Amino acid sequence: MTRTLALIVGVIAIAGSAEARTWTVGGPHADFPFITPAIAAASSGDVIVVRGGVYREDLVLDKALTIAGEGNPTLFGTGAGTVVTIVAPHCELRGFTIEGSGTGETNQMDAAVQITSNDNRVVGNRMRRVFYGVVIADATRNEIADNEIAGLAHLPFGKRGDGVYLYRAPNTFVARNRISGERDAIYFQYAPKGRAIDNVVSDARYALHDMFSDDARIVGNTFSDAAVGANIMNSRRITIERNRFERNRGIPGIGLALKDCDDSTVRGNRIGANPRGLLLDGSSANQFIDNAFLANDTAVALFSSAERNAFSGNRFQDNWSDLLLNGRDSSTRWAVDGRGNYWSRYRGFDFDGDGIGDAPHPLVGPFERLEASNSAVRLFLQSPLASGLELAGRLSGGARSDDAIDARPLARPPSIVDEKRPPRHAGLALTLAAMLGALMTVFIVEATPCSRSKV
Amino acid sequence: MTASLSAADLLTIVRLEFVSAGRLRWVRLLSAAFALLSVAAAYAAGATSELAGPDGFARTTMTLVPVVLVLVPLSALVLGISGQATEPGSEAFLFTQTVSRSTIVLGRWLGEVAALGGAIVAGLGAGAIVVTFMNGADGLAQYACFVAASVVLGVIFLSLAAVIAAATERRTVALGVGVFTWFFFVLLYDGAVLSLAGWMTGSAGGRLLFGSVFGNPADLVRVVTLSVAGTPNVLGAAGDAWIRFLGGPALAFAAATTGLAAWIVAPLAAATHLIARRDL
Repeated sequence: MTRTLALIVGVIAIAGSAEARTWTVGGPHADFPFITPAIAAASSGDVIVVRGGVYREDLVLDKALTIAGEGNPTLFGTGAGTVVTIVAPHCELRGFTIEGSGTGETNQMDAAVQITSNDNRVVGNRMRRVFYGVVIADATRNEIADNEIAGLAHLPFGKRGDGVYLYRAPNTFVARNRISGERDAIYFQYAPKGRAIDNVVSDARYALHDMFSDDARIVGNTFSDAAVGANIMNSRRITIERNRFERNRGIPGIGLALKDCDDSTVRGNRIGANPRGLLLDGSSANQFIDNAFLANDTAVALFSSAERNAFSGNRFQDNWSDLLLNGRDSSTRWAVDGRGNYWSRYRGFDFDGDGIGDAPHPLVGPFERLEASNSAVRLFLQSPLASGLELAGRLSGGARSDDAIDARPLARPPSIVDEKRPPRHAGLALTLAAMLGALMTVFIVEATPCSRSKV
Repeated sequence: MTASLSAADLLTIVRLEFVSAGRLRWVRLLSAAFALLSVAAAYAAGATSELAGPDGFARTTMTLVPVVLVLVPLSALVLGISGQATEPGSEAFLFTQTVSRSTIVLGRWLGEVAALGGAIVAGLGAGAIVVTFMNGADGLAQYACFVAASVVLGVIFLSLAAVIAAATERRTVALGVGVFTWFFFVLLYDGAVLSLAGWMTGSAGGRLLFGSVFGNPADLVRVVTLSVAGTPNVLGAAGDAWIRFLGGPALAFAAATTGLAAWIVAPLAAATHLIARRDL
C-alpha cells in the first residue's frame, strides 16, 4: 500500500516536472497579461492565479489546471460559442465573473462553462447574461457549487439556455448555486445518481428537470416563481427531501410534477402557493411523507395512471382544493400504518383523543368531482353554487364508494421541517379588527331607527 | 313623455334617494358586515398561511368572492326594488310633478348606486387596511379592482331591480320577483348550466360553460374578478381556454367590459321605457 502510494507520488512528481507551479496573470509583475498564454505555458497540476480585471478571451483547459480568480476578475468571452471549455480532467475554475457567451444563434449550446471530462470543479463563479450556464456532457463526478447563474431573463423560455445542463453525466454534484432567468435551471438528462443540494432557483421554465436520470437526490433546494418547480420524468428511485416549491405560477404552474416516475421518496418538503402543488401522472409506488401542502390552488392533481402511491403525515392546509382526481383512483393509500394526513378542511372530531379524527375524511368534494369530468367547470370556482355543493356534500355525509378517503385523518397539524413562524403583525391586525368592529357597532347603535320616507 | 332630463331635477332625486337609502339601518349594517368579513378574510388569508406574502390581497379576494356574490345582489335587489317600486298612490302623485319619469327612475337608480357603492367600498376597504399592515401593499391595485367589480355587481342588480319594479304593479310582487331573480342568478342558473353541460358530449359542454358566463352577471363578475384579482392563474387551463374562446386577451377584455356594461344599461333602459309607458 505504502509502496503503491510512493509510486503514484513519484509518477506525478516526474509528470509534473518537479513540483506544481503557480502562475500569475494580470496586474503588475505578472507572468502573463492574458490567461490563454498562461494555460499554454503551464503543465498539469499547476495553478494559475488571475488578478482583478477584464479578460476578453475564450479559454480551453486541456490539462489539469486550477484557475483561480483573485479580486473578482471578469472573463468576458468573445460573444460566440462557449467562454470556458474544459476537456481535461481534474480542473478547477473559481472566483470569476463570466460573461459574453454566444446566445445560441448558431444552434450550439453556447455556455459560460462546458465540460467534457471527469472530476472537475466549477465553484464560486458568477455567470451573467449567459445562454447556458454550465454544460456537462459525457463526463462524470463533476462538481458545480456556489455559483450564481443569471441567464437571458428578458427572453422567453424557448430562447433561453439551461442553467446547469447535464447530459449523460452521472454522479454530478450541483450545490448551493443561485440560478435565475434560464429555461431549465438544473437539468439532469441521462445523468443518474446526480445530487442537487441547497440550490436556490427562480424565474425558469422548470427549476429542476430530470429525464431518464435514476437515483437523483434533490435536497434542501428552493424552487420558486418558475412555470414548474421540479419536473421529474421517466426516472426511478428519486429522493426529494426538505425542498421548498413555492409560487410556481407560470403555465402550467406546478410545484412538483412526477411523470412516469416510480419508487421515489418525497419527504419533508414545503409545497406552497402553486396553482397545482403536486401532479402525479403515470407514476407509481412513490411515498409522500411529512410534506406540507400550503395555500395551493389545488394541492394534489392525481391521474388514474398513477398507482399504488402512499401519502402519510402530510399537512394539507388552506388549499382551494385538496385533491383533483382525473379518472378513478383505487390504489392510492391515504394512510400508512394507521397514520393519515392532516386536512384543514376536515370537519370531524377527535373525541377519544388519540390524535386521529373519528370519522374518515372524503378527499374529493362534489365540485372537484365535476371539475375532473370537465375542466371548463373550473370557471365556476368560488361561486356560491360550488360552496353550496360543498355544504350539501358534507351534510349528506355520503362519500361514494369510489371516492378517495383518508380513513385516519390527523386531528392536529403535524410539525413540518421549517416550523411555522408567528405571523407578522398578527397582534396589530387583531387589534385593528377589534377596533373596527367596535367602531362599526357604535356606528350602528348610534343610528336611530327610522322608517324610510318616500316622496 | 317627452320631458327632457334636467340636471338639477336629477340631482335632487339622486340626493333624496341617497339620503333615504342611507337612513336604512340594514344598509349600514351591510357595510359593517362587509368590514368585519373582509377583516376576517384578510386575517385568515394572511395569518394562517405562511406563504400569503405577495398573495395576501389575492387570497383575501378569493375568500370574499362567494360572500360578495351572495350578499351584494340580494341587497341591491332589495334596495333597488324598495326604492323604485312605491305604493300606487305616491307614484301617481310623484308623476304629476314637473320632472320626467325617466329622470325619476334614473335619479333613484343613481342615488341607490351611490348608497350601495359607498357601503361596499367602505366595508371592503377595511380589509385592505389589515392586509396592507400585515403583508404590505403588494396587490392593492388588484384588490381595488375586486372592490370595483363588487360595486359593478351591485349596480347591475340595481338596474335589474329597476326593471323588476317597473314591470310589476305592486311592491310585494316586485320584492317576490326580486328574491326569485337573486336565487336564479346566484344558484339556479349555475346549477342548470352545469347540469346541462354534464349531459353534453365533446367540446359542446365546454363551449356552453364558456358562453354561459355572459348570461349571468354574477358569473361574469366572478370570472373577471378571479382573473384580475385572484391568485395568479387560479382558473388555470379553463381560464386560458375561456380567453382563447373569446379570441385573445384584448377581445376577452372588450367582451367582458361590454357584457358588464350591457347588463347595467339594458335593464335600466327597459325600466325607463316601461315606466314611461305605464298607465297610472
